[in-house]
Amino acid sequence: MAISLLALAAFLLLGLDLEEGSVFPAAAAPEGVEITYGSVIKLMHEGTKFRLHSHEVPYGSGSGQQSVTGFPNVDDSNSYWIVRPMPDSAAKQGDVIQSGTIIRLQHMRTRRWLHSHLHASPISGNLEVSCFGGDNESDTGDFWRLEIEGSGKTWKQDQRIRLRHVDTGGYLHSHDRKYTRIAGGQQEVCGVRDKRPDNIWSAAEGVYLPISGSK
Amino acid sequence: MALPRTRLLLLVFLVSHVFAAFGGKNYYDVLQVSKGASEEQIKRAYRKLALKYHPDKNPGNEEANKRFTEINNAYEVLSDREKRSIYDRYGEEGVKQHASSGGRGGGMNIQDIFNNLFGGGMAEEEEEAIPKGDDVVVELDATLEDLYMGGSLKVWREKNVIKPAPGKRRCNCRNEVYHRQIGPGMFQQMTEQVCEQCPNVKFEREGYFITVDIEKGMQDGQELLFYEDGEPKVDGEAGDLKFRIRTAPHEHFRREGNDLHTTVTISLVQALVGFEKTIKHLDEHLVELGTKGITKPKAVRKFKGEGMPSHLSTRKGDLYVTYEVLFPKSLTEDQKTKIKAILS
Repeated sequence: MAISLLALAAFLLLGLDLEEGSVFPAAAAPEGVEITYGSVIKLMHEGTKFRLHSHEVPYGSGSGQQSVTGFPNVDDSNSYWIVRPMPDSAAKQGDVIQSGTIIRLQHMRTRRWLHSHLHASPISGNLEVSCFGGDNESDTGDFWRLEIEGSGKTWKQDQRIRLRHVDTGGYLHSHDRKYTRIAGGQQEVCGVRDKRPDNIWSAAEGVYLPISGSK
Repeated sequence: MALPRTRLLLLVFLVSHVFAAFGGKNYYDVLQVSKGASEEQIKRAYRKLALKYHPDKNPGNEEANKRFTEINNAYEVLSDREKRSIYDRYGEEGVKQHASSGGRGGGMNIQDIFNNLFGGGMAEEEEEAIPKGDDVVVELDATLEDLYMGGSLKVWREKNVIKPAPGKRRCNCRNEVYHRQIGPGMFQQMTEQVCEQCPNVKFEREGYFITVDIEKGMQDGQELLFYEDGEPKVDGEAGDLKFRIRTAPHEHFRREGNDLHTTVTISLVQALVGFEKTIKHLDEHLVELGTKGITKPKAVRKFKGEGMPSHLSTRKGDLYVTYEVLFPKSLTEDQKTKIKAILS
């Protein structure tokens, strides 16, 4: 079946007009579908290929809030984050997101928000990134500004982006510094104020809701 | 490339192949085994899937019942050496022709196959718990229009799938107990982890569209289930993808259960002498709101059957319209005199 699909796709490339809405054999080339509010995505760190992840494990230092790490495996639903606008925004499900917009990321399983503040991260002493609040509890520490690398205007899957924390100015960052005891094998995620290659992430797997108004 | 007509024929062939693969569904995909799977592997896959989708375990679930039929059809062919080799070479069509031209006597029917493998009836749970991957839950805001008329959304699902990789890996590990003799008549019980060797696997990203159908009258909190579209699980089955429906806020109408609420504003004159007014409903049909009589401020009128459809029956809820009356800000002395004369 895969072969027939591949042949069909090849045929499409040869310029024959066909109905869309069928299965595509592999993810689209460089950049994929647009990301809209309400979509549930995994964020992959470009440098290490680990995914932004959280779980009901508190930090043993700093704020003691729920920890956020880089996770090596691809099959864990604790790596899913819901893309949300700022509270009381007119934006709704299905709206695309422009570079420079302030967004929030809600952890799918625990309903807490990707959060940062002036606490030290446990391994490298940078800014601590935690998971805090809930469906009805959110503050400005949950605000992250989307910065698209390159010339793109709206956020797309597989596109290189940075997330800059509004309150502290720190970029969402990860590196090859791993936890040894609890969360063994997972690596540290923190906020770093300088722009560096290790601040680059991209939206990978997920459930991407269509742009509203299109069906 | 070749002549346009040959091209067209090739296209038709490919498309029908794709459709055959989809519409009739490839039997190997239905049983989730590779083309070269052994008979034992096919039997085990059938057991696992038939148990999961059996109608007794999924009462009223149309999707599960449909799959159960597909699984049985697939097994009927793939479990029979002759039918399987015909299917491998000529597809479903080949098998159908072989059967109609009096292939092998009648073949077994679904009940027989099932009973043969499970010894009649499904009394209790099967032993091994099959490990299941993580579920993914997505909250979906549905517009009032979609919930009134029905609608669908095309969602792009990108996830990892398990693909074969070169080499071997350990799998189906379990702790085995054995006895070792440490002296005459003396034995010691030991446990040892024993694994089998399986073909190696790896994860690969794949994306595809899923059509999410919003049915008329769905309630908040209702879930739409997509079997095994969640997270993958090696040596197990993938988790599910669920969409949880939520009614999106609407500019004019407010939903409460199966009823709709809205507010309209009329002038004082209209309130006193009557008026004609229509509003556009969610499917653009007009509802007559007028009256010949007097309308009190904040009066509520019920319009039966103009609410939301009920999910599973043909009944409909009601529309409640609240009339707000606009009073003039001030009146001239002359107006006051005239009004007093009319209304006393």
